[in-house]
Amino acid sequence: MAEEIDDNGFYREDFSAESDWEVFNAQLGDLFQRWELSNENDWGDASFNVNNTKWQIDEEQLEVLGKPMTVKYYKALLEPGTCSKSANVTPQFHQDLMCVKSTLDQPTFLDEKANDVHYLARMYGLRRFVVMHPSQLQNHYLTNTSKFSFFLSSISVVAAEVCSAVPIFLHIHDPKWNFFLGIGMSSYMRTNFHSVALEQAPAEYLYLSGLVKMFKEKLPRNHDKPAVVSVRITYAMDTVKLRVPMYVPFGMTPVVDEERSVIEVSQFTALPHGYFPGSNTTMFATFTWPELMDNMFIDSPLQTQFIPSKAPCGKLYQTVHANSYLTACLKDYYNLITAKNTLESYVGRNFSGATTMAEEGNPLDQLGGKIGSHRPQTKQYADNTQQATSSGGQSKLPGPMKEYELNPMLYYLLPNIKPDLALFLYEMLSKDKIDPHRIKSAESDSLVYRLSCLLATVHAHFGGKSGFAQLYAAFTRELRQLWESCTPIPGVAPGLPDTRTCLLHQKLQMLNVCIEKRLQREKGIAAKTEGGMAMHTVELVTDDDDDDDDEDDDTNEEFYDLTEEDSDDPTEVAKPKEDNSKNPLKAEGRLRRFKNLKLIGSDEYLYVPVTQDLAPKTEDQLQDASDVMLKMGSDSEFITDLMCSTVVSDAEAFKAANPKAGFEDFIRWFSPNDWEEYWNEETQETGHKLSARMQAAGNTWQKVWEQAKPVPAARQKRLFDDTLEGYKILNYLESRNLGEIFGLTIVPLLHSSILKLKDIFANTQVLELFTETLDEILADLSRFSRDIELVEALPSPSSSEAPKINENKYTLQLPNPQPLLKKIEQLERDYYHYKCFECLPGVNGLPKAKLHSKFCEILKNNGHCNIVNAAEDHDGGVVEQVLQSLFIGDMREKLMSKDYVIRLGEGLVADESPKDVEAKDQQQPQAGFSNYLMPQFLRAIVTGEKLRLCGAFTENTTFLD
Amino acid sequence: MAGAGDPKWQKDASDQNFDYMFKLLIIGNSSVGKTSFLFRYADDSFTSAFVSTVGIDFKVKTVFRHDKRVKLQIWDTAGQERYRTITTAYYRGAMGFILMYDVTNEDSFNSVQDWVTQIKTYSWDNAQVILVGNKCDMEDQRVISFERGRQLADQLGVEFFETSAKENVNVKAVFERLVDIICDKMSESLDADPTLVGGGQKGQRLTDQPQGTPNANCNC
Repeated sequence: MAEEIDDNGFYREDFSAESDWEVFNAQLGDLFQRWELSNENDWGDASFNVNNTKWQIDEEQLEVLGKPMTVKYYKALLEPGTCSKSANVTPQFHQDLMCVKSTLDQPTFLDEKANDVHYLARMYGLRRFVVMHPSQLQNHYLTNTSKFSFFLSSISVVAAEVCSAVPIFLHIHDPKWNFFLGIGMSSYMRTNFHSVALEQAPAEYLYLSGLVKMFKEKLPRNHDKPAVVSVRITYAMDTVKLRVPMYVPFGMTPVVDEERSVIEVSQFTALPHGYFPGSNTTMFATFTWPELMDNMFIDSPLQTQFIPSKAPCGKLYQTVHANSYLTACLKDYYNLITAKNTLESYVGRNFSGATTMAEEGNPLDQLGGKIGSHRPQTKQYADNTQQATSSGGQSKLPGPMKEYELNPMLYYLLPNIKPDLALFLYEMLSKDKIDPHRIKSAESDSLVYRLSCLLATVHAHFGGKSGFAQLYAAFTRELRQLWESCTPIPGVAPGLPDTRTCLLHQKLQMLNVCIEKRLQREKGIAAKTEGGMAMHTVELVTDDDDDDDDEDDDTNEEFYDLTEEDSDDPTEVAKPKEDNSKNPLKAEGRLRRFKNLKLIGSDEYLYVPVTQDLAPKTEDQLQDASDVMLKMGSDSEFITDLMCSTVVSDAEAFKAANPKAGFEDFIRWFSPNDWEEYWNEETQETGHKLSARMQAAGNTWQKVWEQAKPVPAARQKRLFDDTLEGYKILNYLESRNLGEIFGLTIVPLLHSSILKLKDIFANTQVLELFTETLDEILADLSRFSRDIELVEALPSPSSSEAPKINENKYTLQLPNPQPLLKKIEQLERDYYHYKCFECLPGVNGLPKAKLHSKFCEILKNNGHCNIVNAAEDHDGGVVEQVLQSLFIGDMREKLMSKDYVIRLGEGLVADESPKDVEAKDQQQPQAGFSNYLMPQFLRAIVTGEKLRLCGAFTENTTFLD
Repeated sequence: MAGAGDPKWQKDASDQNFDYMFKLLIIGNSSVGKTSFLFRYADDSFTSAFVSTVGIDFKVKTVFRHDKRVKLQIWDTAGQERYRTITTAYYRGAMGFILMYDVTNEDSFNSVQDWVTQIKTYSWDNAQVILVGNKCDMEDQRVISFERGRQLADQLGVEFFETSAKENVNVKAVFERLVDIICDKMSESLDADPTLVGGGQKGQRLTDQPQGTPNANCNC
């Protein structure tokens, strides 16, 4: 028969054409193979903490019936199992279902993090599972039964085919309802996962008795064993609200009201504090009966034994919603990090009030041309400020702040501009105070700190960027005033720029150095080299060594005529009178004798000359100097000249002080090691001679010596031009844009904030609670401050011929400050949290130490603590007793939800210590599946009259029960 | 920690010539042989009459260490007292110091403590130091025994070498050792401070002063 129809002429149906269902199955099969769903090893411990676990999610899209289907594989990343579970015959997901700990350990309702954990993991305690849903969830979710069957049949076929050890779910209905159907296969067993939700359930099913009855009805055959029940009752407690009113320095002062103040400061910091009105702590309490036999407790509509006082476990959960004004201020300030706005765009051009400078173009260009032609006029500062503040001699800077708001701030920053109004004087700042954390910043409550805090406060509370610009511009204008009147800037550490401090502080130190130099010069005090001063380096000298006489005269004038010209004050007459400077044999500029040595071949003593101070440098200048050197190469003439400037200056001063001296004498003073002792064979005594390197013909030192003219330091060209440097600094500060000002002030600001918090904590006796965190943040800040780098802002000048020293080309490159901000925010939240915790009835009277340790437990546990403790705390647990007492009485009103889990099956893992678990495992007979008790699981969540059921019932696929 | 994630000493990809850049300083009294030492290492040359360094000088040398190209920026400083303030300015950002004395010169040995103080004051706290007694070829004029040098180094908690730039003894060894301890320190501080590599554990480095923090501002 068959041979008859086997003919080419017949239409042959292509039996290989697959249906959609088959195609889908094949794809799914491939995918599951790839994901190795059959793997039963390395799942980790079944009693894992769902909330603290990281999940790996693999995602794939499949096409089915022309619509995309998303398949996701969720995998808890756990340490490989501690118990020898891998040898166990029980399928892994059965263990999940039977594991008490992982399903009731964490509440599913309050922890914000819980929302990240998949519903299925929370409901069933599954470590691994696969979920399928239509990719476009909006409108295309699965709603009809035929679709369910289509996919479920695929799942069961494929799962069996690939021996999937992982249950596979189908997400049905509107995704927000969290309905899942699922199948878990294992050899001869099949577990069906269902969910049901009822808006209004029969009263019977809202209690354990009814639920157990329902559970037993669902079982495939009569189990003689009682089911194991876990119960968790959740109560919502009253929200704790603590009013901490806003405080803004120079602005809002909170009205002291009946509320307990939780913020007490002992030091004034120009930063806001207080918490936003909406801040609160919400509290929940859960009471858990982790493992009961289904017949042990009575829980029915008529009577329940599940009341807090009888619970073996209880936990208090707290969630804090607290926003502080300080943190808000810092976050707000952080937005400036990328701001490119210039000051001018807010306060207009020429806000600086630079009256003595040419206004057009870069004033520095002009300065460079002829130093000394724009000498600042010494003014009486008092007059000036009077003018400025009373008669409006200086125009008011445009900005949102009124003068009566702005002026107190300026007096706070610079108390010496109005000493009679100054409320906040600076403490004496020391030069070498070492910060234990070595934060590259400045001393706390110094000018830099005050400025940084005030800028942030103004930015947050006094008109945003324009207020910020107004204050900063006003500040630089005051600086210029101080400079013009030769008044040292207050609140800055003495000494030369210290590169261990922040750049802004170095700049201000430098400005003070310049002011002091000018003061010295104008008072006619000869500059003395201060021993042990730091941070000098070579200074760029544009003139060659062989200055002609004209230029010499020029520089002479600069040093000598300066005071004469500029002294408006007639009393200031103390100027050096050494008019015989042109006599080459007359010694000048002697400082002291040098070890009573005499010049070689002469009776005259060898004198140490007065030398010029070396140029101090701020770190951007230092970096520039070394960058130029690296670029030019050290043997270039330019660098050699640069390096030699000090030697030239010193040699000239030496010659002036010791007119009869020779090169040897110079070396004896300048580089004593090059004046070597030797044994003279002829005279049979020790003699001295120059070292080989100093004798070498034409060496740099000899050349310098030969070319040097006797010029005392006082008449030399200045190695360090304080006038120029002073203007450079003012110019630098005035030309920063908003983002750059942020960079200059962020470290002092953060440091001040931390110190302020520390102050608050100390004043409310909670410092020890937060010491660790504070130290951690300070260490972070220290690292942050030192990771700030100076980078060249502009492409380097394309010249090998004329490398210009121009430190203004550097900008600060900051690491990301956000992690620090987050930590500070968390710290403030924790503080608020603690204060709320303290407010609980009865808690406040408890010993602080106990309270602190309890609160530490809350912090450590991400917001919860035990309030019923069986055996953990041996010394009575006073705090727990008090907390527990909050739940005595009628709690029905506060009842939020009840969570029942009913289980039946093999190897129920109780909420016990791991040892017990292991013991149980060992007891468990290594029997095959013959008398294996298949896992049955029902979870019921009762919220008011609502009931949600999640079931997982297992059936035998080989034998019908 | 966006910025701290990638260590600063690791230059970005655009700079292809090396993996790491270390800034090193040679310090010590004048005429102990700092320049000769550097020239021996960088150029393998020696003359007894180098010009006394005026101010500060430098050499750059790239070496291979543990499969990494390490660019050394070695700053040679003038030892004269008058230059102290100039040279200390260069301490910032230096990751290693070669502190040198002359075994034939008692003074230079006695000054070691002062130099250490200078380092402590002007450099950040993680800089590595090696003590070097130079001119060990001049046995007949030696006044500082090897043992005294070693004892001092122990006392200071630094490593110690005796060298001769003239005879090329231990010169390379000193630099290699210095590079190694800087590398060690670097990886150590990365280990000790997990926040640097992201996702740290809380409470690990609390009271610890930023001893092990890499500051790594190689001003290059």
